[in-house]
Amino acid sequence: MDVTITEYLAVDLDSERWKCRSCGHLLGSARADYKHGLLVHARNPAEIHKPMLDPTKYAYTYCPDPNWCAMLEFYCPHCGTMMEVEYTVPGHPPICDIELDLDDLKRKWLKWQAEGIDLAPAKLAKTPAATKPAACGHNHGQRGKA
Amino acid sequence: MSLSDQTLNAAEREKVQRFLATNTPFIGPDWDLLRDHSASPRDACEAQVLGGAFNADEFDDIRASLQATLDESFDHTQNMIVSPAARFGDMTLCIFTASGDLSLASTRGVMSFCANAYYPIKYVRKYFENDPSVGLREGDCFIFNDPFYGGLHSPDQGSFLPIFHEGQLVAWAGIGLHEGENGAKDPGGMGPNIESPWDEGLKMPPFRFAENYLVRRDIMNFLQNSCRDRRLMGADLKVKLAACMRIEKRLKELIKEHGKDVLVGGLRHNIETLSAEAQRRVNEIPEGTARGQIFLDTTMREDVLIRFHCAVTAKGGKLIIDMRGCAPQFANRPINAPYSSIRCGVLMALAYFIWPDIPHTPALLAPIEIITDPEGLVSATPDVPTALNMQPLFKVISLLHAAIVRLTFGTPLKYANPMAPWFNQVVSFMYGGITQHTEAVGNICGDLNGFPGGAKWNDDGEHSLCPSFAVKVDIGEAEDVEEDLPFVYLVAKRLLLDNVGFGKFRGGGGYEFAISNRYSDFWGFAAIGGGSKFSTTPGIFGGYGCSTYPVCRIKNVDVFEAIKRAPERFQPSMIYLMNEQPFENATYDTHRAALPFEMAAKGEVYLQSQGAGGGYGDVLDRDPERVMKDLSERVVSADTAREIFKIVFDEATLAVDIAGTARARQQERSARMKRGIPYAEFVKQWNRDAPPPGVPYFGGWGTTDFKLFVDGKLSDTDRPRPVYMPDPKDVRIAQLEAQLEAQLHALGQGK
Repeated sequence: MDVTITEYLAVDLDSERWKCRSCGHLLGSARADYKHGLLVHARNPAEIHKPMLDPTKYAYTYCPDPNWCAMLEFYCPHCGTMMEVEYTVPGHPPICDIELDLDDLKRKWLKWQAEGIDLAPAKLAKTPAATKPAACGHNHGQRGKA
Repeated sequence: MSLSDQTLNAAEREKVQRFLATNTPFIGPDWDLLRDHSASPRDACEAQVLGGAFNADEFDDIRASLQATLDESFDHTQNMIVSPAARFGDMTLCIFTASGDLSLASTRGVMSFCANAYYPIKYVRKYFENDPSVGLREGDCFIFNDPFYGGLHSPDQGSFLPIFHEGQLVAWAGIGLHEGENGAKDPGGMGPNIESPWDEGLKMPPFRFAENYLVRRDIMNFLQNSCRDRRLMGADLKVKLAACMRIEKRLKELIKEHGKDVLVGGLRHNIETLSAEAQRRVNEIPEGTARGQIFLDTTMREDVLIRFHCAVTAKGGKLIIDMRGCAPQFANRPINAPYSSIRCGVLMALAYFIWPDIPHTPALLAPIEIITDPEGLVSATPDVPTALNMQPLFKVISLLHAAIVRLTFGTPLKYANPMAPWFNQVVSFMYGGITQHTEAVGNICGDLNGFPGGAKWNDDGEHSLCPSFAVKVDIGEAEDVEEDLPFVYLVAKRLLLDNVGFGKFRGGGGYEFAISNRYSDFWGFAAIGGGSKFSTTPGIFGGYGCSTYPVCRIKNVDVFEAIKRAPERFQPSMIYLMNEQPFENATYDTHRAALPFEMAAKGEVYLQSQGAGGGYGDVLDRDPERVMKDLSERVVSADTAREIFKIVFDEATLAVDIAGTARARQQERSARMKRGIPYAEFVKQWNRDAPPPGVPYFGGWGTTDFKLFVDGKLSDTDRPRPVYMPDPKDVRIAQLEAQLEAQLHALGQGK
């Protein structure tokens, strides 16, 4: 069963592998950092954030300083989808930005399935009604009951 | 020998204790109160009401009435207040239980003003209520601003008033707002030049400024005498009291209607209901950890690289926000943030971006645990300045927001559209001087609130909509500003081209603006932003972040005279004015986004641009028609459409070549696969043990096991003392002296 994690990442709960949502390519163990299964390219920030002010005239030009700011682009090795961009300092190890507890994920997913909750990834939960049950004479399990 | 070691009988011990209790030389901040955001235990009345049979429908009615009261009072106050920021909506009104826990806040405004306001109320109850020299009576009203006593930063002020019923304290009414001018070193209550807590102007722990519903004239006189803007201080003391009195009036009407006990129970019920709901929502989050880091590139006086790191872990029904690995404190720079400020950031991220559908109160923090280094930039101590602590605070909002989106994106139980981070820098000018109405003023422009929004999972971000720290505030009208103040907007709220976070859905764009002093002989500007060398707002899931943003200046010119002489040389565009340099003999320069207060002669021009919200998703997945729409609306350029979004189109008609675009995008995907390096290979080449040489780096280096660096050097301690930065002018003088010495040496005249 595939569980959506981000726009471009899913986890196949059966094989416990990361999966590219664009092409279905399996990327690596979902108990490890998904970035381990991707391609990385250190992009020159000036290619994306071009100087707007003349660099021959000004010290600050609307373009990040490449000696201070690096951009790491992470691509699916199979389809080239850019799954993440990390703004970091040159030489800083990439951040592991998602670390799943797969066992808890499986438990929760099975529970939601059993409860008949719509598991479509874009769905927003309904805001629960405010304290509407009529005069029922108890406190609905609120914290701090005397 | 300590007192406990001495042999004292009970009477003597009691005498000693009484002496100590009444002769404390100074009651400082109460650290337990400051750190503990949990609600107090139910008091006797709350326990009686909520422990027995209660009518939840009636509580709902009370909540709705209180909400209407707070929102009505907000509108009322907004029309009376003098503070420019509060007129734009930077204000919150709220109501507290008798114990001091916030029950409900106005839906509009900035909740941070009241997020920590439990603390000064509990402080008054703990230290002053039973002190015969202070006491607590009907008609009292208190004021505070010190961030170590429940304030956020020194330009903000809060007030609160106890509400009694038949002699019993039943609730508190409160208001918090950005006043601005407070007698600090620079006009407006904050600024890059602040170098110590004693440069920050008024430092107010909670104290009573009104008795029997009257502002005390002597106190008002003292406060007016302590700041530049006497009209603002005097009038707004009265407005704050009036706002609290209005809430009190409405609350007493509700007591008449429902009875005191039901009202008290209802106030408490709000807190317990919201705490329970927050807990339920945290229980739903799949367990795991999401991490992020953001870098700030300035102390406000010099370029440095400061790391903010956040690991958010959902585990065991707790959401643990671990901020360890951030930079140390700066002894003489104003960007340090007390723990309470960071907690505000956490609350705002939750309330505005994760759970916007339920009332915004600190009760949402019930399942939250925040971990910081014992002392550091995000856990500052009172001996360092904190006036610009929104720099760390705004980064916390972005970090926490992105982390929770990562943890919850795929779950079916989420309560807001997943989106990339909102822009997180302060882009506005502060000002001070004598106006055309001969008034002394110091404050900040409403552009402060013009942050662009992050791109959503299903749509583009909003252009310059509202700040990340408030969802329902305004940026003000240029005409109103020009009526009160002596400067004019030469460029007002014009979207800057290509200034969006690119992505499948693009972040909102920011507007550029230019102001110039026209009428004052004594006037100046400052700026308090960052992010001129390092992009501070990231995208998410493959989206790009914002660019970098300086302050631009055109000095030694009277632009009004220049326009009169040659109107054709002026265009309302920062890029044109700076690149073409159309005014002869003027001086053009850029400065980091933090600009210490400086005098601005008539006609000199100051320019800035709002940043951009983070982009969402891969640029190659963007609908070509959306790119063409952006192009037609001058949001992006044709070059960007071609080079970044890889659209093939006819520039005259904006018709997309669908097949050509598909080919161009496939070529780019292939190019990525060619230039991308497998992760394991990449990190072998890329990873370094230390920041790049020459970069003044402050903070942890590494992903989970940090090594602390201070000014680019490995620290020999995990708990460094606050870093004392040299005066940038001394640094510059030393550089120039070295150059001079080298030149003299070359001439054979060196020392």
